[in-house]
Amino acid sequence: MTSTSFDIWVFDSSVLIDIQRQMIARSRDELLQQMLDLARAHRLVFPQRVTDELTRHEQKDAVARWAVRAKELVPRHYVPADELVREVLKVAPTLIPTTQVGKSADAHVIAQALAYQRESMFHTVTVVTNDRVDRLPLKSSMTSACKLIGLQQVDLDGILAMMGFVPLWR
Amino acid sequence: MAQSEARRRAASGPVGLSPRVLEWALADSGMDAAELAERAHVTPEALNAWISGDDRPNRTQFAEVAKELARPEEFFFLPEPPRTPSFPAELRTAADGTPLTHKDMVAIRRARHIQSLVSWIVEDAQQPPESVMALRSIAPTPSEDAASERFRDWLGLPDSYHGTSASGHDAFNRRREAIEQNGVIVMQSRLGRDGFRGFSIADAWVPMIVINRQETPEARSFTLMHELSHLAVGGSSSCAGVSAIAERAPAIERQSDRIASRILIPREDLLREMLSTRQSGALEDLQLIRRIARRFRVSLRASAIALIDQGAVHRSAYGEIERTHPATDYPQMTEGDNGPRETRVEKRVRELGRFVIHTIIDAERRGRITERDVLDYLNLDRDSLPEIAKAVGGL
Repeated sequence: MTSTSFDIWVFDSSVLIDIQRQMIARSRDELLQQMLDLARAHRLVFPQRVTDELTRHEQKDAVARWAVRAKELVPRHYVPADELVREVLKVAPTLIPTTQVGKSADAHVIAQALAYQRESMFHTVTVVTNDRVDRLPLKSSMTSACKLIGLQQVDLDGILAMMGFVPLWR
Repeated sequence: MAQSEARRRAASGPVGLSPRVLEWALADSGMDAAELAERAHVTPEALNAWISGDDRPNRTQFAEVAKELARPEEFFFLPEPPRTPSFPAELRTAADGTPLTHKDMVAIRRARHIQSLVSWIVEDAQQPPESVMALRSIAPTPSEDAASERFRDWLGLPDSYHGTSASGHDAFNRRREAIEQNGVIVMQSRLGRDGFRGFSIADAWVPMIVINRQETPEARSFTLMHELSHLAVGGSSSCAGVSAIAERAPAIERQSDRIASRILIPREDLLREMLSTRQSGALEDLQLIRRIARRFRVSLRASAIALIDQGAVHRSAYGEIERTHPATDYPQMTEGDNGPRETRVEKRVRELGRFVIHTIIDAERRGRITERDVLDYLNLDRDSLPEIAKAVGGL
């Protein structure tokens, strides 16, 4: 699968954190620049909760700085409508563990993807996440939730292949 | 764009939360409707109307209620309440019969959240919990002396470890590490209720003990062994500072205190120590209790129970300690009482323990959880991850 101008990628924080950790600085910065261009072209989006997760603990590393810049470029720095979150959780209720105390971006990422998918039949909307393993009965993964809801999903390797980007790993 | 979206959303009408989920979350929180209403700055009538579905909160009220219930906002959009409470019902009331505070309930839920992940990781890795099964096999032992001996075998601590421990803190850390190495989580948390010593939650794969870190290290050692004794019988419990001698204390609490005391102060070692003490002259009961407590790096209570059981001091000595030294074992430590200012990593290691941190980091390395999960569960920034991995690397 290759990228087309009709693709919209909705990013989860797990992928961005792995970009920070796994790539050598030069490769990471080059990738983040390309991703900034995609955000400018309204093809890369993420909800507010992702920025919150990336900048937690006053984090100021490369992806945190990237998220702060990119959020000004995305068409809607998204806080999903309650109805969409409700719809996501109706299909994938175990996205939230019963014991959870803090906030999580998971349901918001999927709700944003769902909103884009409904808005235009000409866009291919893909959730980009590295959360692949179900921890049932505690929590279902983002990947499983996407499948249940009928959303396309790729991981970091997948999105790099679609972008035609060859990274240098640490 | 972002701000206008947020403003638009903030200004939007009432929030259509699920009344049944709100009702469940309230029941799970340990608060009643009046307490939640007061904390969230709404009237009890308004809250009851949201629970019954007759009315809905506005965005600000909703955010306040979610915050006070310590739940993510999206939780209230679940189609139906979870089928089970977030932690075992027996933990909701302390052993002395008083209900726990909301703060304690949240501490229990946070701990249970971490325990659930670690338990899943261990089960997922198909690591048979042999030590945990061995712990459970201690319970049927009829005598407390035999049980405490089997606990000591299970712990695997060297015979003279208390003598070589530099301080009560050092002894506590060695005891804690011995339990962790046997696959039991030991966490330390600041618990809200005065005298709430700690709690334990049974689990087939990874049982857990949580100690109130406001106790002295010596008192924490006693609580540690007390909770370990509970776990051996497969139960979960919340333990307040009930007197082990008092008739009103439940039998299981009295037994757990006696076993804990004997684990910490082996009978033979105690008799030897008493013999050498007698040779150096007679001591008052309280002096003897203090001396044994210092020698074995334990609390005055643990020492008193051991000596009362041996008939070496009068039964009333325990009550005397309760009256005259109420603050000795529970001094209400403040933030700065843990010695030099801790780094974030040191704090997490102290709170969560090496077993939890090592297991979570190892699961990420094996690709079973994401680094985001690690950061969430350990409540850490990305820069601190290599340092904490190094700190627990040799577990």
